[in-house]
Amino acid sequence: MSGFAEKLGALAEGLPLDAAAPLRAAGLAAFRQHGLPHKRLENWKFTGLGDLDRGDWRLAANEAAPFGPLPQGALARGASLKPLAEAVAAEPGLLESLMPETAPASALAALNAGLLNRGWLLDIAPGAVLEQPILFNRSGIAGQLDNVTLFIRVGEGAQASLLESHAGAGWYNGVLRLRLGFGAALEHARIHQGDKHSYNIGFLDVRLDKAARYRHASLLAGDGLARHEMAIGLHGEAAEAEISGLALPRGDGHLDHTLRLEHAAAHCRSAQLFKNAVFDAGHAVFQGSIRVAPGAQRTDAQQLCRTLLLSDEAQVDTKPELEILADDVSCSHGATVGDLDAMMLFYMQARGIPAEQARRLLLEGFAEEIAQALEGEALLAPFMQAVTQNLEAAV
Amino acid sequence: MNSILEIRNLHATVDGKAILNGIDLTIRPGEVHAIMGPNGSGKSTLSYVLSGRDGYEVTEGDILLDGQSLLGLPAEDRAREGLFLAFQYPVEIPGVANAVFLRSAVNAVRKHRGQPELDAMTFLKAAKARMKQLQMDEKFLQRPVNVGFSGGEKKRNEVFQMLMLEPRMMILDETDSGLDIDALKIVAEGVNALRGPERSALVITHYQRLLDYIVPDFVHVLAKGRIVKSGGKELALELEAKGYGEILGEAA
Repeated sequence: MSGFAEKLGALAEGLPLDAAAPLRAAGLAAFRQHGLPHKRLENWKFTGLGDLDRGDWRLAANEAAPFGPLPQGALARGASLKPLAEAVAAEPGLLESLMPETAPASALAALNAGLLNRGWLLDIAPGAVLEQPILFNRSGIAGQLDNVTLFIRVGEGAQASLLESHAGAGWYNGVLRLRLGFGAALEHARIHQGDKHSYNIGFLDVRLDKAARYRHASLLAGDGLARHEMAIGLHGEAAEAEISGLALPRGDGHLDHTLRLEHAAAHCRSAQLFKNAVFDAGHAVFQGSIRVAPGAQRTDAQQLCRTLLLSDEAQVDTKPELEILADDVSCSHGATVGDLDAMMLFYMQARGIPAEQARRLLLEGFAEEIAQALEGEALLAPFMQAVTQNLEAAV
Repeated sequence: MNSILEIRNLHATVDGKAILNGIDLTIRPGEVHAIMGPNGSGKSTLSYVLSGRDGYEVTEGDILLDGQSLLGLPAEDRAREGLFLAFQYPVEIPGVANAVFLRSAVNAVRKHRGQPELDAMTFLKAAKARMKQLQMDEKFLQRPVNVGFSGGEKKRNEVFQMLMLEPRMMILDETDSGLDIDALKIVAEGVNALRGPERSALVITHYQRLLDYIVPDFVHVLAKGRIVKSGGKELALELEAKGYGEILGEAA
């Protein structure tokens, strides 16, 4: 039993015995069985969590919800937000959708359920159109384990956007589950800018019903450790997912995008675009798998990962995987690794642009494509602003 | 001071291979010089050596702009001192809008000259006026630099940048390649509009055609990394009539 697992009992002490108690019990049992994920697990071979095991952690108190005020008029249009335990008490059927995965590689999702203390259900009523984004902002504190669980249901035909941002230190262990109903559309930006001693492990689980559309752009930046793991399931015909991510590790930052995308229904489309610009002794990881289930005909699934290694010590690991069990599909994947183009730099310098500024413009150009998954200015502007700030800090 | 650009006994190597073998050339204010030569004579190498591209090493001699040596200065400093190279193959830069690129360049040069930087509005106004002069569509401002541009559009974009940056010394490397006659005329008009007593040009070309529209004061023939013959604008016509073989035979 590892160091962290021994301290688990103390962390779980004092959690309430409310309607969510069965969830905590199941989560703790699953986590106790496996402990923290380690590099011997295929899915974790590039990202080690030894620091978490050695650390001393206090559970962050549930003092304030990390949500900004719901967009003006959202409540009137049928959006509602309530603590998960309350939601489960009112709707016992929810428990099942919240039960964590039990595989060893998903032990942190199990831990999240086991320590559930900051959890919310957000419902967006069928047909509701939220013009302004839902804001989820948090900043971690050193020594604290911030364990956040969010369950968001976007009702049939509803349209919404979500701006999620993470900063600060400490350990974040988050689970965000999104359920998109028939014809629902959600645009989701996630911005992570971590401090040197920050450990941000997020698990995003998205299920799309028929004709639903999900667009996601993730930024991982800074010199801490972060892993944004995504499991996206296209479960209804003609659903669409556009998933993109940008990792900008600097210092000895370690930033990991891991994605499992499943085409479980026919006529769905998915596009994955991931980019890494690795500075200093940074380390970027991209693991992307696509599974096309038997019968998911007319699947269109594309994946591309491009990496710039900007110093001699910079590192990247990429692992694409395709498992195609249907025969009428169009799938592709590709990966490139390189440095900034010397001829482009010379061209800019030959116009008087200083080398450093030329590099930054090229990097911004490289990054900009990631933001194209975002259509709304309300998500795009803060996303690009964070990109620019982090490039300035790194170049 | 009576020269803008002075090239003295210039020797240069690329990957350890000698390409320029002692070039001497003095360009005075207001003059337009043409350098002609067959493929492999060192024309493009000369343009890259002058503009300061990495990997082009000067082993002997000097390059002076307004009396100041350019050796040891990075490309961006040479550009800010007023040297402009119009590329034979303008580079495509995905993700960087033409307007952002050019405004960064204009402001870098203005800052160097001690002039205030242009705000976005003033820049756009100036840019649109120059584009009109070159019959370029304003939509090119928002497109990534040279991406998806035709050969002619790329060359026009080079001259557009030149009009915006108002260099002291223009170097045009095979600006005529890939241009049809109408585009050639427009590009030449752009260059001619910049001609004046305080500005000079070096036109590097394989063919005489461009020199019908940008009429040079002097023509030099480059072969094996040296200037082997110099003359007035009639030398270009002679080259066109006789071909490089005969002229180089005479010079040898």
